[in-house]
Amino acid sequence: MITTPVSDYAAAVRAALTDVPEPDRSELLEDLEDHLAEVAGESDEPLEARLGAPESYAAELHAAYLQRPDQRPVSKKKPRLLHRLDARAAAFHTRMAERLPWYETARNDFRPAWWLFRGYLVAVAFWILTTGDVSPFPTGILELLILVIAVGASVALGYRMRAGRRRSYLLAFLALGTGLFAVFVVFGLMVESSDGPTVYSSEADSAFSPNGDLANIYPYSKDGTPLKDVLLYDQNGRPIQLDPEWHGYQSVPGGAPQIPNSYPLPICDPNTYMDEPQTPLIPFCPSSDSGDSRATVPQPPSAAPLPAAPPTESATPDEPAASAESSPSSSPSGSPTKPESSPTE
Amino acid sequence: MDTTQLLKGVLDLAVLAVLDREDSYGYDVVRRLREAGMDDVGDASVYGTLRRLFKAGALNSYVVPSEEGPHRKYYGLNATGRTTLADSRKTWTSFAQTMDTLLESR
Repeated sequence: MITTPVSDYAAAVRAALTDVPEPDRSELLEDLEDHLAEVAGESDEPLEARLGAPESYAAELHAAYLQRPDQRPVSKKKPRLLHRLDARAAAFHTRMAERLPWYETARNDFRPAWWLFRGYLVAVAFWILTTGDVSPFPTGILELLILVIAVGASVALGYRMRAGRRRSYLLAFLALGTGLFAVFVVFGLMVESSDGPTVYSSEADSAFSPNGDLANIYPYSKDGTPLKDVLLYDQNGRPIQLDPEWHGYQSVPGGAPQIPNSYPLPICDPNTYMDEPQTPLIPFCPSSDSGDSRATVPQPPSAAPLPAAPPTESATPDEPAASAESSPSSSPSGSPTKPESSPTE
Repeated sequence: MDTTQLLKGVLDLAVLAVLDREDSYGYDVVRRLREAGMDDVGDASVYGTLRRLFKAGALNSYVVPSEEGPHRKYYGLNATGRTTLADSRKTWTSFAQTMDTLLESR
């Protein structure tokens, strides 16, 4: 074996590095000779003069290499809470494994199942929080997509963690959350924009449209007199019902049970914290004693799915001051209260 | 003030920063650190740091045959190394600002 200044120096360093345990030691010294040769090639000065004694070189090497024996070089510290939870979980698993001999194997065997389940839980929690849909199964393409993403991300995270790469634990969850949110927003916008026109074109002429922009109907006679208690029917004789609640209105509290298709509906605006009502035609609800006005309001008749009473001339229910506009007026001329044919179901 | 003590804390970051610009081999990293102004950086410290970062999974390495000398083992940042660098950069920046503030307010 040829000895050169470089190999001599390397051997001396190797000999001085006795206090580094073996797998680390050979790994550390693996390229030392090549490295020293590179240094030596730089100038004719002997290595000892440039690098110092092999012993001090070894000491410096040792210090630099074992600076952080936990193998995470400049690793960011884990958030403390996560760290504590990890320690708790580890302690729990150890205790369980001591008591139940099959625990450790079962834990490993069921891990992928747990990944799937955890992703599923995240997805369900997500659509409950965002859409209020409490169904345990995905309804619609959006929720299906959320489910697929959440389960996929959970499984990917599981593999990552098993590979021992825990660094981006929190990041992964954040990424998952924001990703789901982005999908939700994009799809929400798409659904909204595609929904908008159809409501007006195809749904708005339906007698039971809850989605149209229609919260109430104010009939007027030819001479401009506001009419009240006008019963409206569609071409099939079905009563035309609106859902003012859907628009955030309430029926005037204390009113007598109303015929659902008698217009204008006696509704009021419960958002009394606003400066002005949303529309001048619909007044604020009278403030009740209890803070929550909604609790004291009887169920509005318009929400009831009961078929409206067939219109008769005498069916004029007393309406307690629906709005300022519909003040008592003269009976409308040419009253349109009766349709041509008797309504059928 | 002895800069070797300061160096110990930031050598990882310095080595990662050098490798982030360009893949490099051991002695070249030493040279580039010295050129950048770290005159006191020790050869063994850089070599040991490189081996440790590599073992910790922050670097990838490949051997490039060299005509005039020994084979060179090049090191470069992988995804983990880049994450580590980004994290350490933030820590360093905020730490340096803190020190600057401390020293200014006299």
